[in-house]
Amino acid sequence: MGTIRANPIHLNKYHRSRFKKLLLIAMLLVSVTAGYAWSEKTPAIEYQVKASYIYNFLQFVEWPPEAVAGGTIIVCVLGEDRFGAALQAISGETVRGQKIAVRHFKGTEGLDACHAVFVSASELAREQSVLQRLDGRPILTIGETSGFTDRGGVINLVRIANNIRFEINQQAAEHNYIKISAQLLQLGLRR
Amino acid sequence: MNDIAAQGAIGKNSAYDGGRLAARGFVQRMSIKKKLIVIILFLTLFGLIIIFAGMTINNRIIFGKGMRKDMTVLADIIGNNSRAALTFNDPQTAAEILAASRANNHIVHAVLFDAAGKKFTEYIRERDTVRLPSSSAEDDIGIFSNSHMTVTRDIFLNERRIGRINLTTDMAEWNDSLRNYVIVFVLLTALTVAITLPLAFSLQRIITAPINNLVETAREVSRDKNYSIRVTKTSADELGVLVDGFNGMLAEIQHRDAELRDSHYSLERRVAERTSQLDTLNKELEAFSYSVSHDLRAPLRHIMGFVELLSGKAPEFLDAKSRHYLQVISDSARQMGHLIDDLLSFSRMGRSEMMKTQISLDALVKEVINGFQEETKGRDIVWKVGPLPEVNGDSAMLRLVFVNLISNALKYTRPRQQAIIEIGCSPGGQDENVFYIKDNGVGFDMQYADKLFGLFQRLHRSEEFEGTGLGLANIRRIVLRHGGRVWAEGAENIGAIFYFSLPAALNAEDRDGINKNKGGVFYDGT
Repeated sequence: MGTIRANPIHLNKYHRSRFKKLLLIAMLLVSVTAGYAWSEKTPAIEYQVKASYIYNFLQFVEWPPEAVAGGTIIVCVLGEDRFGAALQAISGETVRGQKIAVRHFKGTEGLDACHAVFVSASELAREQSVLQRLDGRPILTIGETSGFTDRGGVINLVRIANNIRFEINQQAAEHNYIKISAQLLQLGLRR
Repeated sequence: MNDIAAQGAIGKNSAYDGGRLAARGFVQRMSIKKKLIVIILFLTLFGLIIIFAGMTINNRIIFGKGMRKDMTVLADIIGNNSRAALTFNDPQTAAEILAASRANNHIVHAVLFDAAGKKFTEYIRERDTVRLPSSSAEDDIGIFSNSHMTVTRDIFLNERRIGRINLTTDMAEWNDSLRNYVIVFVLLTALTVAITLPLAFSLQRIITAPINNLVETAREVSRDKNYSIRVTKTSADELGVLVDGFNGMLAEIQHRDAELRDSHYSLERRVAERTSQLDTLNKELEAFSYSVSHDLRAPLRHIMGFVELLSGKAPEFLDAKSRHYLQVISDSARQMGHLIDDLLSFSRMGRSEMMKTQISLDALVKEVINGFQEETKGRDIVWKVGPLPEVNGDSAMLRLVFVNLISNALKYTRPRQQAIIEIGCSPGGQDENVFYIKDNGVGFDMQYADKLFGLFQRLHRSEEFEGTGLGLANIRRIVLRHGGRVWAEGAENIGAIFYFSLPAALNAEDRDGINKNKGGVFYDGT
């Protein structure tokens, strides 16, 4: 199991035709900083990377068929949205024939309808209860706080040095009826 | 320039031709049996090579297709496994995935490219770190030339191309199987030759046996001169036709031989018959002429005796006319006497045995010339006698030769104021001495030269020059009995040269042998 050297991503270069303009800009920005240490002063870039990670996770995750029967994969952001346009850019994209929709939530009300929930760092206080609420449902939980996976979250984005890596809690995924591709598991941080 | 070039070309050509001729000579010297075996083996090997080449090419194509398929599947599997690593930009994990290629130890090089075409990660088989085929090399199509095959596959994720993979494999597997093919081919070839060679040996007999039979018979025929042999015909093909032709020729030769032999025998028989008939006739004729000559002498002697007696009494009884008649009778009778003497002498020369001794011709010729002293009184004669050798022969006969020739010379030089008579000897051809008697007499026309030595042949009227026409014939007979030859040269009113040859430096026994032989060859009545 390798550690992820999450250099700023330039893989979206060839998505040009499909991705929205903003994502393109984000990607270009990522490219500009390629190979450079990435500082607090550029928080936007961190979330651009995280946005593309979220999009890419969708491609290596499978929901139970009945859960995605609606033809749409709903990606929800709980709490403070620091993605800005970066996440909005993936809205409308398709993954395995299913459209992606991005929604924002301040509270847990209606969160059940989501397929993927990004729990913002701002929700650390009620993270546990949110996770408990979503437990056992076919929902991919993504967090960005230390110990997120320990608390029952499925994927946790971790910043190590200037790179973004991720941890996967496979038991939590199985518990939530979510199948994570072996390839993605292979890339996850060793826990 | 051109000439030199042309010469060079010719030289080259001739060298080439020489080589080819030598090669052809080698092939030509081979027996038909060997040629057939070589041809059979050559064709067999040629066929095997074509089959081997065809099968190898076919196998190589099948192998190439199979390998491409396998490599494509493998590239797709590795590519798909690398999708997450490509997506999350994790070259290290990608390298681990690529390293799984190690399981297939024919993969030399695996390269993962990102969507932009930049190299993402690669795997290199450990033992190949030194030399790698260019990763950009396109698929090989060659049969034996390329040592590697590269397959390129795009990697898709969610219908987007996210990268590309190049897999390069060595052809060790093919080389292994090629080696196996070659081993199998060599073994098969050895087996084929082992089977074909004895077969070729026995099958070539179909063709060579009749030929050898023919050759053997031809050899036997030419060695034994036996034309009654026939070749047995064993096949109805071209060789059969050849055998028929050969037998036909032999039959023809045999037939002609028999005919020739028959005609030869009949000819010899006829010659022998004629010869004995001639012999008998000749002997009868000889005996007849001898006895006639002999018997003619007695009456002639009476005529001459009584004419003499009558002449003694003539002055008293006879007038001048009658005396003249008596004179004519007397002259004619004398002439007839000479004729009979010569005939008897000629006859004797053919019949009598030769008494051979060593004779000094110098002395003999001197005696003969002296014998003519009386007859030539009052004539101006210049004698030129060269040194003459000793010869072995019948002295009386050879004396007669010189007497006749010198008497001829004296006779035909009579019209000359001064007669010049040369007698000499010149060593002629091998083993013979040539003698000549040359005069400046009336000579003769060369067109009658061959008639000179004939019996009763005369070139001059007897009113001019007396003679019986037997002298030269007699000389010829004597010289022939001595093993020599006679001939003459002459020109009218200038002179004549008479030649005769005698064998030189032979001892008595040899000459006797020769004479006996000559006696058989030259008919002389003995």
